[in-house]
Amino acid sequence: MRLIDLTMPIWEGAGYGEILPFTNSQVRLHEYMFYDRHGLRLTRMKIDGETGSPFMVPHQRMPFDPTPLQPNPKYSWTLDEIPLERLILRDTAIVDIRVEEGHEITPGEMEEAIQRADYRQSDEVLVRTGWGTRQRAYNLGVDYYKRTPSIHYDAAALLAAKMDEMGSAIFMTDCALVNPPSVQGNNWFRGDTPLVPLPKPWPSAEARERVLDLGAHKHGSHQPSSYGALIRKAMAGCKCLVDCDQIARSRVKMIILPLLIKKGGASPCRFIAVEE
Amino acid sequence: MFAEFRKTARLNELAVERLVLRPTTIVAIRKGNGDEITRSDVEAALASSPLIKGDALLIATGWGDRTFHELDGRAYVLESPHFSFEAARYLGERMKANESDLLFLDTALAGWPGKHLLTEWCSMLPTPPAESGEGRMYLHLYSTEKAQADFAVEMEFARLGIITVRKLIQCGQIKKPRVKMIVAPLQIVRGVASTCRVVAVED
Repeated sequence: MRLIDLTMPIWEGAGYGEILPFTNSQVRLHEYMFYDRHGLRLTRMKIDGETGSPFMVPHQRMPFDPTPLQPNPKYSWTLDEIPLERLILRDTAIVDIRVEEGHEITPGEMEEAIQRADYRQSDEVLVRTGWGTRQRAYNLGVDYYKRTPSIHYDAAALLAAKMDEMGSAIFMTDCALVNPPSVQGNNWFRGDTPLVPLPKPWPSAEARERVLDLGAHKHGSHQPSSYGALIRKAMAGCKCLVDCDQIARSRVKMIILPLLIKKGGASPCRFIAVEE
Repeated sequence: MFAEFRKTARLNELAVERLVLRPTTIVAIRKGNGDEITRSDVEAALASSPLIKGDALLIATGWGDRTFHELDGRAYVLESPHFSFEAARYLGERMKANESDLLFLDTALAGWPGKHLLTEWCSMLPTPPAESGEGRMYLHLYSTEKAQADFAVEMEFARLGIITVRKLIQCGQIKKPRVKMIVAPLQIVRGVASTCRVVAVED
């Protein structure tokens, strides 16, 4: 048995909140007890639901807002309601789509990759592009998110339909964003009219005004949300997995452990692949 | 002494094999409100459930099986069973000799920080928030000697190279004397402690 850790680490400043007008702002660590003075190191940490490699259910804004990201989702469990059996040692198919940075995965590429994969009934799905590595995340900072490959809406809709047909419930990827950056950061850091210089992130005045204009969490792009297509049919969407190229086989068993947040909708998560 | 701690493994450096599907021996030491776990308790428990070489160890006192309404307010922490220093040293040395470096507890506390921290901080009513000016001032005056007295048990486990995971719940649901544990802390770069998900797998 071989264990492979696919979890994005967490560090001060990590995350992509600084390039978005949304509330998923950067990780902050505040140390308040020290070895030299106390013989202990204790740290208060600010994280959010999309820190590290996140695990996000359709009702992602819970416990604060019960509205799902998309209407009528197939699953409506919050983090504390998901049975452990749906998270531990899950059979998972690797769907390989090797692409360059910034590429939007097309429906044709998705279809071909699904055909090639050893994808069986009830499998979970890991879309592997090769983008996600710890070292790249450390080196690129927010460019890791700006330059990531992503999934075009039509390709996401195709995969969502396939997952629905196969009884798959968890979508995972090593992309840093599922939506194309031009959609996710529409007319903020990307899109037709990005703001230059980029405004301060949430909770700046300009970020708040954007929310007033568009509504909370709306990207405002004319393109539909790829992630929305997937999460409507999935129990959870998971992104920012790293070092998936260490997986040598076409199938693994995944251990997927988000924090057990009472009525929570999203959480940093550990992802461990088990090769037998 | 503290220099030793600064060179211990960090969360993002721990080999995943130490945390995932780790064989674990379960030992029962039943304790109630405010009880101390003594060296003789540990001796008796290890005599009845011998440690297997390299296994992690879960000590189940029953505290984590109590219902929320039994332990409301601050009782879950302030009335938690906890180790005496002698018990911690004995257990840590036994674990180290056995190459067991991972200790699970269903208690809220490992030791009892009652010499200074609890008596001083909790005597301030209403208790100020930790982030307050009072909190910062208290920690500024909380000296090395006070920390050593209050956290002697935790420091002894650390000195012996034992990773501790506490506040487990529902250990009473485990039926077998030996399980495989999955421990999933956040992977904080150069971090030394984290909130954590813990799952027992019974084969």
